[in-house]
Amino acid sequence: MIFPTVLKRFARDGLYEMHAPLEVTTAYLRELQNYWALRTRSKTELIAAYRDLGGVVSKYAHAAEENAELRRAVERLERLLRLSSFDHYRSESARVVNRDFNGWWQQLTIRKGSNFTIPVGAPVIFTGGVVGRVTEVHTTTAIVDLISSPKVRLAASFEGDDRPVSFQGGINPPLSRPTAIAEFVPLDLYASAADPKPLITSGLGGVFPRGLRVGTVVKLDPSPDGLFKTGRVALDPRLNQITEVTVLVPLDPL
Amino acid sequence: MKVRPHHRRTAVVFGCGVILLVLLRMLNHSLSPWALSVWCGGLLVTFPALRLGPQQGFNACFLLGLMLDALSPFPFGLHAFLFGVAHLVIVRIRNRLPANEPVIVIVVTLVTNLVLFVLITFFALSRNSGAHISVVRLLSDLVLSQITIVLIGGWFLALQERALEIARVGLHDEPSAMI
Repeated sequence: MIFPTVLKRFARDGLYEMHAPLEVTTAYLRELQNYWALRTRSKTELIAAYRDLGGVVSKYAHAAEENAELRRAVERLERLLRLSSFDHYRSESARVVNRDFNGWWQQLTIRKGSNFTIPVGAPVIFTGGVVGRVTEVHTTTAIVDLISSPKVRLAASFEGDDRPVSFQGGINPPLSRPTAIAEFVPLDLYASAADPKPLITSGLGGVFPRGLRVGTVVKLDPSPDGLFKTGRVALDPRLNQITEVTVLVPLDPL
Repeated sequence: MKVRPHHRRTAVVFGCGVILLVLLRMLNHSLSPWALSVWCGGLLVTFPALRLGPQQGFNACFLLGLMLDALSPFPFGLHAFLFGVAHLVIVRIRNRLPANEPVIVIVVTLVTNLVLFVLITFFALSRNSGAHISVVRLLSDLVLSQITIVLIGGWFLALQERALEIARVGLHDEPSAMI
């Protein structure tokens, strides 16, 4: 009973690690291709881009100052009220090597693995909110299951409302943005395409910290039993063309 | 150390399959912004099943299936099992087919790919019971996969034949492949 399991594990890891360098090499080649494509741009275009970037940088510098001030305020309040600290994670940014999205599964391969102490189960985010969860960690790469994957289920809540609802990914129609399903929504909550409501992580379940953006609820209908509502969640369209993610590595793993 | 010709054949066909896998994964990466993807597992099975000796072909199919298993979240061995079964079925009927005709090989590839795609879809549905899966997405992926096979099938078959010739294990001395 044990031998085949060990053999299967060995064969799977061996074959994956054999293929991984090819995939990482193709990702580097893609980046090289982009680099040379950018080299063809004229100096005028680069100067215009630099000018635009200057505005963005000053905006971010101001936001960073505000962020530092808010952090200090939070720390002060934590000390005064003797609350536990929010800093449970360290951020590890990683490039996306491969996007493998099909009707059966939705996975990303990122270019960091056990060499950067990425653990299995770590939450993964990007500028648009939650990306998914690390499901496999290899030597130099890791596999991330996207929130749009059919088997992903997590506890979420509406912004400004503490009651948890169930989120399940899985509806990824062609030529359109990914969508998901929100279930067990209390009857007094409303959302429509004209008045969409943001859905955030509830912090329950211990994987995702509270308050990360999951998507936008654009439709809510009463469920067949009449006790709750079921709705459609529109996910960030940038999820389908993601190139860079941040892995939240728990500082104090259980 | 000298590698036996039939082992070399298996290795060459496996290498060509890995090249195809890398290219298809690159294609899927590029197609992902449009929420489309291709799956051409049938293309990995047909040549070994129609042109190689039964043992060499089975080894190549099984190894390629294991490689696909290593890259997928399904239980390890699913693709290997399906590819092995598909290989055995094609080997049983290959005497009745003009296996040297590229058109016939492409048609067999299309049928094999369709059957394997449907079987894996049923497996995915049974595994994610209660999950929401887009039927339109599955259909569009299947149609795109079949179109891709028609477009690149001839090239991939030629690649495998040429690679075997370069490795000096061409099919001319393989009695089981001369149909």
